[in-house]
Amino acid sequence: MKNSQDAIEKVLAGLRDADAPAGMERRILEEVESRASARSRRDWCKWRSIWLLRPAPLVAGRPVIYGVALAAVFTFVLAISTIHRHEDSPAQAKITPAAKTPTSRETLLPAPSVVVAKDTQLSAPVPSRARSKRKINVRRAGLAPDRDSVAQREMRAASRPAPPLPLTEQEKLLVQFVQTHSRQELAAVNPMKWAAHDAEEKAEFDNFFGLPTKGRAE
Amino acid sequence: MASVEGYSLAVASMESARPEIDLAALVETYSALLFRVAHSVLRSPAEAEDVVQDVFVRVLEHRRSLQEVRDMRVWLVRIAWNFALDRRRRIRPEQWDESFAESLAGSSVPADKALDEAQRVSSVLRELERLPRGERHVLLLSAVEELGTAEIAQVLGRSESAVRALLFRARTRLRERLKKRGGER
Repeated sequence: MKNSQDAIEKVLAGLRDADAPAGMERRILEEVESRASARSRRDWCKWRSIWLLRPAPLVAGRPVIYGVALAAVFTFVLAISTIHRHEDSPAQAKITPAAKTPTSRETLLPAPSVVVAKDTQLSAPVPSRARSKRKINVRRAGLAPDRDSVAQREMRAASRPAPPLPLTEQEKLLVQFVQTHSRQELAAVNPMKWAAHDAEEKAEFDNFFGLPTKGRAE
Repeated sequence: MASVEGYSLAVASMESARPEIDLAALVETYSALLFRVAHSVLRSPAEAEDVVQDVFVRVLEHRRSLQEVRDMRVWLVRIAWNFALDRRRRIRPEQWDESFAESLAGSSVPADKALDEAQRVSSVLRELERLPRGERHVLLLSAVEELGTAEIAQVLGRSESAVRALLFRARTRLRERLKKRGGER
């Protein structure tokens, strides 16, 4: 018992008193520093490779970049001009049928309404598109198109029917009367029926009292 | 040892204040402790030194996140412990136990007595390796004098009472097995 206990204590004491080899700290520090420097060198090489490799395609691709930029500017200008053309086109579309058929517009009555309907169909989407999709810069929009085209557009704008006027007092009374009275009562309002009714009564009266009528006298 | 403890605490507080870790101070403070932790598992000074070196290389790799480490001492001991266990699992150095036993037997005693002592130590080490894993780990860490029960519990991820119970069982089991082995002889 004592021997085994002593042996255990001896082993544990040996593990407890184990001394680090001489110079261990220095070796560890040297190793760690060498690792750190290798790591920093590796990082520096990585950054340098990135730094050195990045300018090369820049220099090589400079004409390409200029070309792309030029193409972008050209596309932008083209898009702007296309948008302006789109804005002007409804007015031209309106002008064309009016210029083609001046006589029909003067002579035939339905023609202007047809033209107006066409104009309404053509010109209706334009303001809604302009309002919803793109905000128009008012100052720029006012200056860019010439004033004649704006005046023409406004002159040829579709005439829309005026909103219905409010009812007069008599009309309101009439509507109220129609809504509140029965069919017989409404029929009694009819002056033709009143006149027929009066004529019938008068005929009965004359027939009863024997007044000579023009036909009977003859 | 108390002065080392105080120094380590001062370094730890300094580390918490500074953004960069002073690795030299860490090596100076903890290398001996980590060496003993690794040596308790490997019983080879060279292998234990390699483990300590690996620990500080790991510290260097994670030096950005060291500010988040709450207890640097326990964290380092746990790294060294895991590295040592991993290394022992890979190498299985039974011959190191023999040389360690011979070094413990001492050179001041006569050769026959030293040989007998070395055999006894070797048998203790063999039985120690046959202990259940939890008991073995607690017994080996308890051999490192700087580590208290609370720190052993943190390193092994167990409660302090469990560590105490495991330590008691380990000692009892080891003693009984050695006694039985001695009786068989």
